[in-house]
Amino acid sequence: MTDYFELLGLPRRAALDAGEVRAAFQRSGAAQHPDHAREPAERGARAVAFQSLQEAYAALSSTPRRLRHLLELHGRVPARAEVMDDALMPHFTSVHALLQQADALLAQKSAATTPLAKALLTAPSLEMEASLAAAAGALLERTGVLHGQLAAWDAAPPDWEALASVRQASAFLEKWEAQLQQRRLSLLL
Amino acid sequence: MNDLIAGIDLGTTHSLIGIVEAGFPILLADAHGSRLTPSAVFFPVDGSAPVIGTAALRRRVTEATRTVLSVKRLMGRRLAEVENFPPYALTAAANGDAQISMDGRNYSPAAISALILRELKALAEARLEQPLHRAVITVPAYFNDAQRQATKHAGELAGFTVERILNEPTAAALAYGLQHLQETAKIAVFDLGGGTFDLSILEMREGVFQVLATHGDTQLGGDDFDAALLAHLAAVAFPETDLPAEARSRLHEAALAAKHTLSTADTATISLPFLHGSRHFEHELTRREFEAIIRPLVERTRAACRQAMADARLTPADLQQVLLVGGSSRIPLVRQTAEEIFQQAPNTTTHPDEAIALGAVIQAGILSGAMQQLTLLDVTPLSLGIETFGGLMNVLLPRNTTIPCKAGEMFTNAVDHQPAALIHILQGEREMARDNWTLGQLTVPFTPAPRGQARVGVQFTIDADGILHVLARDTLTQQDQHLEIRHAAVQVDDVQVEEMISASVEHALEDFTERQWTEAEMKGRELLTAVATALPMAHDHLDPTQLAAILHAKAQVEAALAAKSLPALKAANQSLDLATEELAALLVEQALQSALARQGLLD
Repeated sequence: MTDYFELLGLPRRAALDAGEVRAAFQRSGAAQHPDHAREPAERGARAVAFQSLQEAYAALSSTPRRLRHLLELHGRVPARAEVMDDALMPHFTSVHALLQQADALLAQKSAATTPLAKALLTAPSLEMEASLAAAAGALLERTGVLHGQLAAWDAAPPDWEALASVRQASAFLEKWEAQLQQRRLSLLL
Repeated sequence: MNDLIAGIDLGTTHSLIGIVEAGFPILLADAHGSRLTPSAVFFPVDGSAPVIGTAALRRRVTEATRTVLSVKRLMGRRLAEVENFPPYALTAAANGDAQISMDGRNYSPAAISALILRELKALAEARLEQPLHRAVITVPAYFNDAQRQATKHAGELAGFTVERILNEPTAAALAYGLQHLQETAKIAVFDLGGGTFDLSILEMREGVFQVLATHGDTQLGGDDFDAALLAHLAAVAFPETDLPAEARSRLHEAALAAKHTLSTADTATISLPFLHGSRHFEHELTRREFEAIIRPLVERTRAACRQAMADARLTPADLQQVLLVGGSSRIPLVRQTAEEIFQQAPNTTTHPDEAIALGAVIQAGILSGAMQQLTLLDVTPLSLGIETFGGLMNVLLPRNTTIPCKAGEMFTNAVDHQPAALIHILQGEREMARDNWTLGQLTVPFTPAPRGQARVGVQFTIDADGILHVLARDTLTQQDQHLEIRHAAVQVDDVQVEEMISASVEHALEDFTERQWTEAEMKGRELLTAVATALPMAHDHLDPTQLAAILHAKAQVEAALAAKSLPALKAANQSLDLATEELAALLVEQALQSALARQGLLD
């Protein structure tokens, strides 16, 4: 399998900053971009090379996807259906409940037609927005802690079990945070 | 054949063309010295050749039904999706797409755009004294696949090889970035033109321009401001009558002029003698009044900005520049709104009408090799997916993926010797397939085989133009096949479409009154519930007259509901809406105050 780290000229590390990955993609992307082909024949080869860079960038710029790639490079393929870590369960329950409340409020908002009915929903919307922001903030904080562990992981002898569990947790946290943010945006409209 | 590539901004209101000369992007002027060609096509009544540009625009007042304007808003759109109908005739083509009907002939929006492009081509060839064959054409970043295809098709109809379909805000960023090549910066491009709005966030570093996120609204622009202002003026001038077409055109023209005046002045005088019969229309329009009219439209830009910032995972403080481009960015309220959203003074130094065209020329220069120091990494604005079980959309390529990009999906036969599978391809961000835009249906052929044995890998590629291509590989035979995407409604022929339209019109007449009553009833009941909830909350802050007005209007709504009188209910709803205006404002104010208080406690 293609080593995306090598392709972008990045060290094979669990801890990589998104800006670092982006800068590497911009450098190699500019060098191999199909727009700079001078001969039609050259264009095809450049298109293939650029495509790989693009895939590498997409894989390495997201932490859970980067960890998955790292695990796969070492022959550790995560199982398709995974059991959620016990530590994540409380988050899952609270995020799920909050999303349902937000959806109910959004449904009310889209049903309201008169200015007065809409005005009445301003206060609950702002309160919900604040709750969503707080919940997203809590998830981000947890994500931050997880990411903080990655540098230590890189320094120590590889513990694949530990990395797999960080990968799973960060994948869930990323997904939930996106869902909370999406509701927040919808409420602000 | 020479290696010249033209850069073209095919705009809603006007279009521009340019080329790279001696390493610099330049825009070309017509014989009168103008670089802006109005995107207007006039069809003379005698059936002679269509007139394009400034000469066509002059006909808009006297011959509005024969002058095609703002055709860009119709590109790749179905008739059913058209919101504001223009004065010229629109019909549905066989596949449901909107088309322009003139003197018994039908023109696709691409065909009209091709006329404008051909005019630009002729203009440039006259200036350069050599033929032009290749072009880069810009489109709004938020254009979907069908709109991009229609634009590319227009270029081909005009005799160009279309080398690239380029996103407008990205083009504007290139024009800005060419002057600032040494900087590493994150910038937002706020592009509000005549008909479309885009917001793109880019990172520029050492000549590389990478788009991080983009969002927009392909039906929001100066045209909508004009329409809102026209409706307002018509209501002020002649509240009791519908204006005849010519008076409307004159008022439209005056509204447009007033809008332009108000970008620099505080008031604009509208003076139209004999506008309607013997009646004159005189009106002093203040900027305040104008801003109140367009504010709800301008507010719509916030959603796209927030979404793009969230997608790029940035906050306003992370941005070094906010570029304003597009003609409508001259409006003070638009500038003010952009400043509020991004919490910094926007950069208005790029020419609002020319930046996009210059960017198109720069991209043409990149492709021809004249400007190799620059590289553009753009993205696809909309997620691409297919419909799966339960009517859900399964995303294959998420929005904001750098293009060109590809994704694969394996399909297998569910029954023995199944000849093919039908795939529904979608573009959009909604969870349910039906809420997204249908790109088309795709038939994936299977080699006859027992259930589960036939396997076809389908590869979806979005090219550098943002246009989708589909390749199928049969794993049994190892054969590749390019698949044609069928436009969704293509089976419906003209007659059927006409039947569908006339049937729906008849149907509409039948239940029109009933539907009106149901709507009014729902609104009335919603208002009564809202008043019952809101009054106790804000009772102390209302003065006695306001309270009396609300109670009076409330009683009227109740009476009209009981009497089942549609006209009375409509009037009563309206007066209750009006009477509760202050109350609604008060509630919003209260909510914002307590939200601020909460934040104060939290911080």
